[in-house]
Order: sequence, then C-alpha cells, then structure tokens
Amino acid sequence: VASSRSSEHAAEATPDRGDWARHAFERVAVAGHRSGGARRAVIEVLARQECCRSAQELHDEIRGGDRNVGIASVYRVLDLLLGLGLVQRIDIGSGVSMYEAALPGGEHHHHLLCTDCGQVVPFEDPGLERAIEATARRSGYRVEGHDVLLRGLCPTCPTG
Amino acid sequence: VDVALRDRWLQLAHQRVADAGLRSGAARSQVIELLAREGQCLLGAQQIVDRLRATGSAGSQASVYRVLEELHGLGLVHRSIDDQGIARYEIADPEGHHHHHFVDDETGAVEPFEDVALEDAIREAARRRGIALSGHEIVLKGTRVREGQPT
Repeated sequence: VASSRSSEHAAEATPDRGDWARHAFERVAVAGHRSGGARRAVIEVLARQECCRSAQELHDEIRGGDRNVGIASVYRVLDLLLGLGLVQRIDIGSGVSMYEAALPGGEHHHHLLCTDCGQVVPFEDPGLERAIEATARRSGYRVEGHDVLLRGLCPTCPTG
Repeated sequence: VDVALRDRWLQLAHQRVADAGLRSGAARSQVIELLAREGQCLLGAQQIVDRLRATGSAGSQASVYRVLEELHGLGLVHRSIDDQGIARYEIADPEGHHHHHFVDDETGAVEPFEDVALEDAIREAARRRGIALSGHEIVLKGTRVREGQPT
C-alpha cells in the first residue's frame, strides 16, 4: 500500500520534484536508513511543494492526508535529509526555519519575503544568476551554491 | 574595525533599546559592546558567548542568546542561519551600508564581500517583478581556491 501511495504522490509532483523524491528515497536507503512511514511521508509532501515550507506546515499537510506522523518525527526526518544534502533550510528571519527540496540537477529558485503580507514568493531571474556567476568568478572561491533572499513589498500588496 | 560604524551603531542601539523600554542590564550592555567592537561581520552566537566569558562576563549562555534575539527583533542586527542551524549575527549599519558573505564549506569561515554589479542586478530583478525592495541577503557557498588550483 505504501509503495502504491508513493507512486500516486510522485505522479502529483512536477517531473523535477518526482525525480527528487525517487533520488531522495535512494539516498536515504544507501545511507542505511529504512524507508519508514515518517520518512516516506515527509519526502512525498516535500516533493509536492513549489516553495519552502516550515516543519509545522509539512506536518499539517501530512496529517491532512490522514497519516499519523508526529511533529518530532518530521523534524528528525528533516535533519536527516539536511545531513544528506537532500533539502535546504531557509531562514526568512521569522525565527522559523523553512525547508525545500534540493533538486539533484541543481535547478533552484530564490525567495522574496513580503514584509507586509508575510508571503514567501519563489522567483527565478537569469540576469541575477549571471551576476552571481560573475561575482563567483572574481571571488577566489569555487562557488557551489548560493542563497538569495529579497525583502520588500510584493506587487499584490496594496502598499507595494 | 570601522570606528565610525561602531560609534553610530552604538548610539542607535542604546537609543532603540531605551525606546523599547528595556533596561541597560549587564548582559544586554556586554553583548551590545562586544557586537560594536567585533560584530561588523557575522559572529556565531556561541563565539559571542565564548568571547564574553573570556573577558570575565558572568552572563549565562541563555541570557546572551535572548539578548541577541531581542536585538534582532529591534532591527539592530542581521541574523544568518546556516544549513547546520547555526545562527550568526552582525550589526546592521544605521546608514544602510551592507555586505554579503562567502561561506567556506570546508572550514565554516565567513568572509564579507561587496559587489556593485551584483547590487545592480538585485535591484533590476526586483524592479522587473514590481517589488518595492527594502533589503536583501546573498550568501555564496563553496571552497576557497588554494594557490595553483583551478577556479
């Protein structure tokens, strides 16, 4: 039943994120961890997200799907996935860590935090990526990743 | 140490703490003074605790962490939390000057950088999306290239 449910959920995810779920299950298994109910549930829920979510939001969605997974288990699985490089943690300054899948092909987006409505909006910007690459070339570092967080008013807020 | 930054931040910090109705207790004053002297680029919370202890401060670890979060809530410090969940803090320049950070994945060392072209690209990305920008953070992660190594 679990694997059938897994297939259904993978089909709901976008192709990249479905790939991520398969990749995550493999990495977790290779690292010697069983694919228990909590791990499966967290990976499947993460694979369906278009942007970062807090542990509590992930837990709420898991429970909404009638699975009985405790919040402590969600945190433990997130720590495991972080340690395996399968998710990234994002600090938006609220004191609550947010998590999202780290896609195996390196595809990524950045985040805008609206200081009015509090919404976190994902965005991609090729011009910004080029500027970051140019900065990296000048840096004396072999840059393997970057995080960008913009703060401001999103276009849909009345004051934006 | 940028002495002018240290002095204007100290003045603002004392003013904002007083305006918030917080007392100038020992732990709060010690953390503020240490950040003014040594916190112009990211310092780990534990580093702050250790440096205060080295100066004979009797403040508890919990009180230092609490003060750091207070200062963050008052907009006096920027906070960065890395992939390991380690929080680092640096003072927020009242005049709005800022820098970004390279994080060395091998050593954990943090190095500040400024890049005018990158700032322009950030503003342009925000403009294209209709975002009224009030702040931004950029962290580049990788490893320092040793002499003779290809970039």
